[in-house]
Amino acid sequence: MISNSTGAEHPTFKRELLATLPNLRAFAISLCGRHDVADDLVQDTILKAWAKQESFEPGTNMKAWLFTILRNQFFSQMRKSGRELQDTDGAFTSRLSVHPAQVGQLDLEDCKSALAKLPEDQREAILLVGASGFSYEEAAEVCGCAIGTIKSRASRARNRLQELMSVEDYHEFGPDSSSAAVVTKAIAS
Amino acid sequence: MQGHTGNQDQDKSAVTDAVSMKLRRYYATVMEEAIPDRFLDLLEQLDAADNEQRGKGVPKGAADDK
Repeated sequence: MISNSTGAEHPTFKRELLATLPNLRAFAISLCGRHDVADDLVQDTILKAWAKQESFEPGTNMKAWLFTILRNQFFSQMRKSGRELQDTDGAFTSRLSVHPAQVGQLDLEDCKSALAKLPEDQREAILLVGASGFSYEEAAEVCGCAIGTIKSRASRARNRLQELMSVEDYHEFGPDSSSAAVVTKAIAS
Repeated sequence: MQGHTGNQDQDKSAVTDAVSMKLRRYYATVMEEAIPDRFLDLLEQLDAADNEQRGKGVPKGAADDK
């Protein structure tokens, strides 16, 4: 790949941006729970990123850079509006390209509504490290906070999701926790 | 709840794994949605506007960027 010293011509910039879009958009949708709001966020992010592309250093983490722009936009809009974006869009599964029956429509709805109940900072943390593929270090950078903060937010988010979601895998172990432990132990050893 | 035994911790981690898996599956499904055309159009427009503004003709390789 040819690297341009001027920074003005970045065929790779657009390509990398395009490659990151599905993940970035999934993050936006999961973060605000609404497709329309998420898509506005993504559009703003693209415009901002394009305008600031001179400040992006080729070879560095484009994904983290774009996620940072998007989440800053999200939180500044929330501050401005002074309230949470509570409504989530209906008919979510009708938008999915994968047939819901294959993945379990209930599972998806379950996960979506559980996410919506988390405080924004915890939702952001668990999405970044648990779904979008960031390390704790990268997530801390994206959010502009300490690694320890991300870790504790993600951990609280996990505990809360666990309470909110019905986890069939757990029930498969049966109600007897000691026998479940034996099974777990047997599998682990 | 205090007084965790090792067994309970193992239960807990099994549940946590299930939660993580559900979250990843949910996210992957959202990621598989098609990117709306408006974003692809927007990028094309931005790219075209940049090329025009530079006034140095179309940079080589731009034709490859669909």
